[in-house]
Amino acid sequence: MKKIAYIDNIPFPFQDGDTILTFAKRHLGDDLIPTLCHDPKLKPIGSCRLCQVEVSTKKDGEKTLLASCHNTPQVGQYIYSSSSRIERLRKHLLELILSEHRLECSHCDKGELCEVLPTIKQIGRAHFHYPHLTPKIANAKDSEHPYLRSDMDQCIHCYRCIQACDEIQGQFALSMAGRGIETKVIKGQDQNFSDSECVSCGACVLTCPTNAITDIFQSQEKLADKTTRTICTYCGVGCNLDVSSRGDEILSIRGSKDSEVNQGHACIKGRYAFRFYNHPDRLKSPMIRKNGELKNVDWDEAYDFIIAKIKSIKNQYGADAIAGISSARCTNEENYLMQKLMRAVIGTNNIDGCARVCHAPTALGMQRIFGTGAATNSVEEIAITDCMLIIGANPTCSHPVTGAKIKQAAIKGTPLIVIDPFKSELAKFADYHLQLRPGTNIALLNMMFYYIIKEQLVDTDFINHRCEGLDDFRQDILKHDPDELAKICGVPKKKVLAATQLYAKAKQAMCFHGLGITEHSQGTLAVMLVAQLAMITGNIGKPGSGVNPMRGQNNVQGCADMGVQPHQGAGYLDITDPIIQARYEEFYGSPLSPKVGLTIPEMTDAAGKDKLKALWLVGEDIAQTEPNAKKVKTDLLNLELLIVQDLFMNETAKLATVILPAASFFEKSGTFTNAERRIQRVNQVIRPLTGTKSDGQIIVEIMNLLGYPQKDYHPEIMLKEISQIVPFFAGVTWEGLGDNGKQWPVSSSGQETKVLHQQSFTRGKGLFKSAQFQESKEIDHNKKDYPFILTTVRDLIHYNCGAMTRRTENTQLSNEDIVLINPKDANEKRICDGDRVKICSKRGEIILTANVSDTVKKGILRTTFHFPENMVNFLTSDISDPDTLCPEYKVTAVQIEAYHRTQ
Amino acid sequence: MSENLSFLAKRTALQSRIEDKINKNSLLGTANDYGAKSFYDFLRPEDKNKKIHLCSGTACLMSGKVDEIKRKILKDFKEEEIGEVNCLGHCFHNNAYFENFQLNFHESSEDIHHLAQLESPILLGQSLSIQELHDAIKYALEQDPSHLLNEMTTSGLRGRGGAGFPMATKLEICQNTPSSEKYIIVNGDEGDPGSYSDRFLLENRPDLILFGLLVSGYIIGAQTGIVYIRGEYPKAQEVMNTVIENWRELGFLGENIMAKGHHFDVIAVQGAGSYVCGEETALIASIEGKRPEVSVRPPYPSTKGLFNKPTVVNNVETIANLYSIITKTGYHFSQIGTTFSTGTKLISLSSLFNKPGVYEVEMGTPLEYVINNCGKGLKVEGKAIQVGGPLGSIIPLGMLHELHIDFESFEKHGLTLGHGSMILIPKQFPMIKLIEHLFEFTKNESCGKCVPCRLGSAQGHNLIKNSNHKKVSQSIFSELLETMEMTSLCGLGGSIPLSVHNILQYFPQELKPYFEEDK
Repeated sequence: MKKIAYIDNIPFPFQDGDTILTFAKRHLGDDLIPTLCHDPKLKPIGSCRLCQVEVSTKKDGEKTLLASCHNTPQVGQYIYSSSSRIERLRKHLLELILSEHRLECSHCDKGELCEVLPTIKQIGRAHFHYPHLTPKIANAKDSEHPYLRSDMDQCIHCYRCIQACDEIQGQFALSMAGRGIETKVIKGQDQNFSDSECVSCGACVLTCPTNAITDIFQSQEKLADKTTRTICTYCGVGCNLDVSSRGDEILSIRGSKDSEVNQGHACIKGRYAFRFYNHPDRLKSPMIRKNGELKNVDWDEAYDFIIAKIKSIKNQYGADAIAGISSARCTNEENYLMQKLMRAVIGTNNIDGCARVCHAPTALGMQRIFGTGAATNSVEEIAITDCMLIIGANPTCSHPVTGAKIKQAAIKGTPLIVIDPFKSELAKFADYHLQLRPGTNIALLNMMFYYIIKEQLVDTDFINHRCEGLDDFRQDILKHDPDELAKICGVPKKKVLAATQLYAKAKQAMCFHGLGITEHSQGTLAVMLVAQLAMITGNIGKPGSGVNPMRGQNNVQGCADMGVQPHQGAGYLDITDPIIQARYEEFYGSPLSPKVGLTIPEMTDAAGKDKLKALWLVGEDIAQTEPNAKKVKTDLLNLELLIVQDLFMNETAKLATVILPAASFFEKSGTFTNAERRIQRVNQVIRPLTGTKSDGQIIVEIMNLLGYPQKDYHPEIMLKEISQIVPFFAGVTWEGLGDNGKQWPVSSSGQETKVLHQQSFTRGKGLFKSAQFQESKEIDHNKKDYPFILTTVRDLIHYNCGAMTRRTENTQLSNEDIVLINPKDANEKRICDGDRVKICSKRGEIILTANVSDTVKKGILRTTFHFPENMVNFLTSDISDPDTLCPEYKVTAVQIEAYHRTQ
Repeated sequence: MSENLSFLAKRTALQSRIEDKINKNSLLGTANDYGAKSFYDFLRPEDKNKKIHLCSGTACLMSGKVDEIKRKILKDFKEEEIGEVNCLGHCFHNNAYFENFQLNFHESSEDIHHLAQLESPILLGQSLSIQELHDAIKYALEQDPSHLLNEMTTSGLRGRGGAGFPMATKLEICQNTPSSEKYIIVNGDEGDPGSYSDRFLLENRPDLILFGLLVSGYIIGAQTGIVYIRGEYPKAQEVMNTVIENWRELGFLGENIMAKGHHFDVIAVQGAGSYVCGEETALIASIEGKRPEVSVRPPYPSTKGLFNKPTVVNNVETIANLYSIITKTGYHFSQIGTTFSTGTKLISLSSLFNKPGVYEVEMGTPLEYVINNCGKGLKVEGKAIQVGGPLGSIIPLGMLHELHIDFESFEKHGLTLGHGSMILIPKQFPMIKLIEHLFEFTKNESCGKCVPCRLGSAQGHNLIKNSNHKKVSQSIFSELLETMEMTSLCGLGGSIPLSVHNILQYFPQELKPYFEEDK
């Protein structure tokens, strides 16, 4: 039955959860009842009191005043939005508010986000004004932060910024301080944004109704001639962004309000770190190395050079002497084209992508267990799950918008287990933090299986119907001695048991994993165990459960989906299968090689051994990001042709034979697929920087020059081609994706899929297959001389090789890789916080600044790899996961000592 | 108020000292740590150097003694070492001040004179023997909670904190809210300057309070009780801690009390200097170690209170009545007092009465009787009596004969009884100063959350402070009072205007020079 209440004597239906204000706004718009402290994303705070209405139990009966923002409508209630008393009170309240907010509109940066002026218009000024309360806040103005600004003397104390920081980000960087008339908004302990715990997500800026909190871009918004909705190019969360621009200039970015992925939220990278796009360092002309030096040439010359070289190398050494590396930063369409170029035009399966160094074990491991190598569930299910397990991931840094959602759920009481060598921000909120030694995931996971079986927490029903191989698995697991495993991973048995019970007993438990699982010598095996952990507890195929890899890059899912790997073509079809090969050949209209191609480490290796002659690299800086970087560099220099297609002159580009200046994601259209399989539309915001071309355009032009007729790069047309060959894209069309995209598989009727494996697994039955822990060779061989374990990660401020973020104001917040060291180790090594330290491994040595921190255990060091000046990958080894060749970034045996300049 | 912060605050144990709780709440971040501490008189970082706190409350202001005390103290302390405190509950002699947060006295330190003007007092009778307590607890825990709730309903007991809300209703709502965890809180944040009857009960009748807490906790299904005692009452805190310990030893608190299957324990929590903590949502936030700000209602604490769990908050005096209701029946209680104000009421008389002290009188007792027979008349010539603190009423002496000590009689005259404190306003004390004092009090004690209270009090204070050289527009001023009264989030901003209205209404001639009529 509809519940009815009357607004100004007209009946309207209201819903559960409505306040009088939301009820009135829904039916009669925003202008009916004024307010300054209401934000629909936030809980009612009731501070401004402007939203007073009168209510009565009968028509024109005796009326009571109520604040509409925090009172709920009652059945049959008469609500009056206005009366002479209401007008009088609102005007008086407004005068009080204006006595601490100066209307200095001509030099206000708030632009269209100002809510004060519209409210004045709505209510009108009273016949008197109160004198301004004298500015009372010391250091009210804060301009220390690269992006955020505040002028707290303009604050009207609506609390929205504090609530946004609390309810959206969960950061608690803002609060009020003082009492009574001295009350004021503070950051940290009454500090600047820069010195507080602020993570620069900008949620406070978006909600602030005045110019008390702004950012450096906000004032520009009013100059915009258009706003384009697109998808963020950083991590795999896939936030929707509204980009304001004027001509070819980008003015500001905000999270798209109605986005299903991010609901208007964003992080420092997506929202603020965009000014790389027109940085003077952008490559603007193709270059060819002539007499050892890179010289600007025009596109035709570059193309002619490339075509001639490729043809001659192919003639002389065969197609397999040529390889391509595509990019998880590029669109699906571009990735599809790149693998098509290598396979259908050049004739080799030597195509790989940067998933190789991150989530290749996820794709393979999950394929082996389930049949599909993608997240089984959706991020929105965090809201309904009964338990969250996070293994080897630091989402609040690496996937901030999802991280904030996990944190919000954990704060509100959803049980959280974190398995990580690092005491991450989420670990602080966790019920259990299993702080294992890097490289011992298998030992810990086996312990969990041991307890699941011993404690009879196996979901027998699910397994009987849906899985195979449990009997052998069970026997293998029960052979383990939990004491021994506990010793290996350094986590007490009791804690593992308790965490296991928490996970296994939850009605529905969701698992997230990151590179802390994959970037190991047993990466694929670990992923397989994670997948089986979900399976053995029946946590698969239903909402609020599943195995959810946290993808590091915007389109790492799509890159693999499109066939950017040497053994599977577009749609993960096995290229060695003759039936499939025939299908591809017919579709592409060219003969294809049935031979599995090279992975990235094999490519560089082959280059070093003269077996590979040409390498085409799109949007990846392998000379900085591959492990054992010195060797990679030597190998690359041995190539006859190294084509680097990028935005910037990165470490790899410096070695190139030909450089092709590519366009950024702002400068092209296409689709990205986020970590939850959501295909979303990337829309061009500005024209490509003069002299540059989109990756898609470049590849198409080369394909045509090599004699393959490929239509011009149009995402709409490309998507149509892709939907015909990639089975799970069957119903994907540019138009049909709409604003919020669709999660694959998308049926031919256009129906998307939120939860995979609901009825059966892609491979039929889910597979149980045990794995034994094996100490990394890196440790076995080197621990004597290099007793510390270094693990590498990325932080919130910078992104991977830093090519983009290092060219933004983010560098003001962080401009070097810092190594974390446990206080006990620091004490023994006589290292103080902020000291320079020398870290060496068998491969090389580097100098970093130390941060003494109890977030790492004794014997463990942790650093980022964002800065070419620091070249952390000089240290890492070329040991990798044998199944995927994904490098073991997370475990490097090192020695550390205080560094003195005189050394 | 932030739901998230309450969830996080729940992760660490309750603490006896607010500062300890704030320190434990490290997951709430440094901003909330600083924000919470900066709220309290005794924790404010910038006031760390204060060694002396002098009273700025109304009773001391009327006594005129504060300047004298300050002159004496300045011999040993520097001006910057002296801070303010809002009433130490020694309004019967106005000699008290804080030295390093311990009570000290300027002249006398005599104890509270207290008297029950009744044959069988409910609150000020003899202290209970262990056997009496034992029997009462055993009896209560043998009853079905709904039976006890019926007794409460029959008793007609209304809250003594000022609002007069029926206690049984709160208990019933909370009892009906399903939750495995609930809390019962007794509000000993007796902040109204001039009132010290709760302090008397806390220090001298702690058994009555713990009994009331145990039984009301049993009725709603709470396993934890909290006695919140204002930081200005260190002795009450000490006494309560000792008595709680005794009760545990006697088996009156703890697991499975008297083998009746009920678990209940109590912690006494000491405030740190803030008037608004007496407001129930602010009080809950204070216990959690958050900034003690007032929250919007609904949701009411009885459905979502401490740590987001169902909670009932009752005033000290209210809860002290339960012993009588449970042992002598609700009906017996309902026969005392008037139809709508059952039971008795404690009255605190300030030092300007001839016989200051705490008195227990039956509801319905004439106000003049209290002043003349209990207080033995006025020590100095007066013109009005402030009843119920800053949020109460200002009653001219000529009107006293019309009033009785009960909720109805005050309501009939548009007044409030409040917590029943009485401060005499001497004849020579200018009423414009009293208005200024009330606004200043609000401006300093407002939690800062809502516009009418925070800004209205500051602008009102400005207007009145300057009124001797700039007359105040009557229309703007009455609009301001209306705005504060009608739109404030809680009783602080909402009730101060009533006091001011009383003054304007009853002392128009005295105030005329400060106001101008609008053309």
